Amino acid sequence: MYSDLLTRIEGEGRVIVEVLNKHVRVKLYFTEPKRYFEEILKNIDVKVGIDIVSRICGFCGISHVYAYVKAFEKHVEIPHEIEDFRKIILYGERIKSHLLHTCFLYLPDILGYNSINELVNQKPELFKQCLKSINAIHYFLAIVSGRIHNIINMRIGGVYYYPEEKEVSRIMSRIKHVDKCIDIIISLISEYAILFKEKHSYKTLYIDIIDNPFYSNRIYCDNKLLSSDFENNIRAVMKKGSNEKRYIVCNKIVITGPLARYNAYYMRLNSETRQWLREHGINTYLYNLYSSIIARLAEIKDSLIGIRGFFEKYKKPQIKTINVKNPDGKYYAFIEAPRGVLYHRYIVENNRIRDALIITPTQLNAEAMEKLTEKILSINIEKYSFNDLRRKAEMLIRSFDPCLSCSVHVVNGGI
Amino acid sequence: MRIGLFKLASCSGCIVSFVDALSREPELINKIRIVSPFFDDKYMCEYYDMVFIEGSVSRQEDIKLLKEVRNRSKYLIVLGSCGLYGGIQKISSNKNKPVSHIVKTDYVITGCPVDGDRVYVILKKLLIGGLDIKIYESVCSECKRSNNTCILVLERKPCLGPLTRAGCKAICPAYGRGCIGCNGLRPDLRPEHVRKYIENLRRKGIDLGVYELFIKTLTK
Repeated sequence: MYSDLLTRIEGEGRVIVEVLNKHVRVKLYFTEPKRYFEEILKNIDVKVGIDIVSRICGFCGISHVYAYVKAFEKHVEIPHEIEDFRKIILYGERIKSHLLHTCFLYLPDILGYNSINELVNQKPELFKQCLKSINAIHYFLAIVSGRIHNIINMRIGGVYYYPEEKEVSRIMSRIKHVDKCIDIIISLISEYAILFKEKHSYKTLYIDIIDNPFYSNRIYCDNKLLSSDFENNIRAVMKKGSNEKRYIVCNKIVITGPLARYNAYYMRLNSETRQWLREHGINTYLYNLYSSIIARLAEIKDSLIGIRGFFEKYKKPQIKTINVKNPDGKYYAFIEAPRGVLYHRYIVENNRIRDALIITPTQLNAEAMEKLTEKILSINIEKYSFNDLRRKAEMLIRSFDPCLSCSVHVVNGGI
Repeated sequence: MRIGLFKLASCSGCIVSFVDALSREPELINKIRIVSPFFDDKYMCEYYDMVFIEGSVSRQEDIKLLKEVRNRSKYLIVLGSCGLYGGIQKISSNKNKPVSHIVKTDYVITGCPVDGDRVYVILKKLLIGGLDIKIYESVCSECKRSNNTCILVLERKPCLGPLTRAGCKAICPAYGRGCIGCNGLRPDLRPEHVRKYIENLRRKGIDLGVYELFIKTLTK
């Protein structure tokens, strides 16, 4: 492996930090091996693709599955019983993904530790609490979706089963571990508030979540609405030595993910979540990239409230699925995956996929990971030694929660 | 006890299952130290008690890493289908090889993803100094133990369960879905057995055509 490997991220990547003429240069290389999912999807039956896209990513595979089914459900209205239950699965994935990042990958940075092992040594009880909350959310996902990823319980038109009422009560008792964990973490990071003071300016990319917190056919780039013309407003960029195809939207450097969602929809957070944030000194929008951890914690809290609200009045629905036909044509969906906007687009002929395009949050964030990091560190160049600059660069990149397996599925439009 | 945890070409799902296994008994963390790029900048060490590998081998760097960790580790354990037979990415590129084509492996935990319970059991056995006995069954055996109705026989739904290695708790048939073979081909079967199975089902009016791509992963 490489000496400049960027550790504590999903997948394999390198980061090179240089100082040239009092300016910091950051180069990010996605060395994660290519897996060509867009090619694998070509010519397969529409019914089968769901089990392929779920294997793009072990962290956010449920969002890929949901993007796939929502794209192919464009001609039908899904009964609210089905859709409400599927949202619960998505809440589960959001909590799982955010916990993995918050507890393991990013928390050592905030606390000034070099590794998860240092976190284990210095704060063993906290680490165990993190594991308990991971266990609780994995248990939840196993009940509602069959397993923690590569889930069984979703299909075009609906789901395969609903959990029994007695299983739901077991979920509710276990899930308290997650509440306890995020309470501890938000109290702990408030001791490091100075880190979140500096104001960073950035533009955002997010979907319209008014009807559904996870799905829309409308997307906003720097507050401008794009929808069916999304592909006309993106530019693919490839870099020598890096396996990803990154995308620039509307020729702007934008960020997508929890921070973008938090700021766009702060007033749509549950009032209980906003109260919880206020109790920990967070009263308003977040302008600082390091504070993506706060946005994640807020989304975990909000998701827990969503899950509780759903299960408190849970009665096993009768309808599991509706019939969906997919005539020839174009199908697409925008999803808010844990790391941000996820776009799936398919061209279908005779029930087979003729062409697939999958754009993931990390591909959309890649440019911002380099350029915003350069900008923020160049302003502070006098304050830091080179080692500190490198450390801060790694931390800023990690704050995006990059998911490299999601980003290397196709190169140059083919193999 | 030092445990290496590495990934090659894969989705990181089996690493998440490894974390899931640890979450079964958080006290385990007092007995082990995980050496992995996922955990630490210092991801190579002189000696590992065991190394878990997720993913298929597609690059020279992977071969180098595998040889390095094999030399330094008492046990080398493959986590999941990508390392076992090349995974779904084998369809798009023949470059994706199983780990066993490069180095000797001591054990394979099958699954896509591997089951956290299974990883936990293996981990506990390794901690007391031994490896599990290798028993390779088909998904059908798991269906029988779980009292699942056979969807192939009774509902005439296409299912690759009889061809596929066990290890997933037969989760797809349990919810009325046909097995797609993601755990890989049973070690006692060859591609000609797969073709014969497809032909036999076709004669009985069950078409496996929809699983064409997954059958390719079993036979390619």
